[in-house]
Amino acid sequence: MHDQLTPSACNLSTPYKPTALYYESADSLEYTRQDIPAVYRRVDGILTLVFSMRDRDDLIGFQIKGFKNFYLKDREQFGGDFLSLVGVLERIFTEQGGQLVDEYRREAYDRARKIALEDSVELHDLPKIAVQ
Amino acid sequence: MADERQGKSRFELIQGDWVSSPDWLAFPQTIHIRSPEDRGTFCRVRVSLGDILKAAGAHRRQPAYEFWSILNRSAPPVPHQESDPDAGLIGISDAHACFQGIKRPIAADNDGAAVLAYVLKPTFFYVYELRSPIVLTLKEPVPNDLVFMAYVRLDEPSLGSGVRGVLTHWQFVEADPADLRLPVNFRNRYTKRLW
Repeated sequence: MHDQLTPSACNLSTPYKPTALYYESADSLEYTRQDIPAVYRRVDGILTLVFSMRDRDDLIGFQIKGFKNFYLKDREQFGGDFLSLVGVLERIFTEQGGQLVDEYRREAYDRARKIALEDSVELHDLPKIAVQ
Repeated sequence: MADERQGKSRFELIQGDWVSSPDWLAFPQTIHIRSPEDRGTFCRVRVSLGDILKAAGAHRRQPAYEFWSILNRSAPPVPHQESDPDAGLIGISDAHACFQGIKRPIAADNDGAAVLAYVLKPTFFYVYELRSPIVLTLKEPVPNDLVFMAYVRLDEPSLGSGVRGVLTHWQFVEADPADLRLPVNFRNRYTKRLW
């Protein structure tokens, strides 16, 4: 059995608890409120919004791509053992040009930030320091 | 199958704490894909087991269900009563288009130049649903306005042994309104089309 797995991972009856996860191979950070079929809508090279497949108006989460580069660059400023994703999204938005970005992207960042704020999303699963 | 032809799903009810099986996490180490240089030949890539198992460890099952039923041409290995569970499923080797360069950073690759994006058009896939304490396994039709993308990061340099890279992640994206077999904005979101 893989060392990342808890015994309960094999139990399909254990409910999903919304969690921000960093995927090393994809180099992306993802947070979804539900474990359901989803559609990924690209906003730009960094942010993707995640919608329910059954209701495309229902935003259920977001994905921050290329997160490792971003994290390593600003790691000292973040500090600590976990990250607030509200702060991460605000920092990324500023790096992308802040209020200068077009309306579609600005709204998308606002929507992702709203989810992070409402759910108090934190990332405890930080990328490994060593660069690949 | 009659229900599937009519666009309806068959419900499979699996109940109780016994719904536990390590088999559904027994992913293959590698998987065959069409070669990026020649659609008529095949090569192998590793499967990003760390990421998919991390998701499973957080009890997020749907990515694994999509791996089994859209990339591996098989129903998730969980208890079910489907008489012909693999009928109508496809695999990653059924990709009909391949792009290179995803125009976003991925680890040390600043613009994802070494990433391939394979495009698939699945007809059915498996859905995990928990209505506690009942586990539902649903074989559902895929909406026609979606395509399924599978991303492969090429090894640079090649590690040899016929393995070209790693299957990093996969997801549904909206199809281009002008061509429902390709992803929306396909002309802009990738560096080039290989086939």
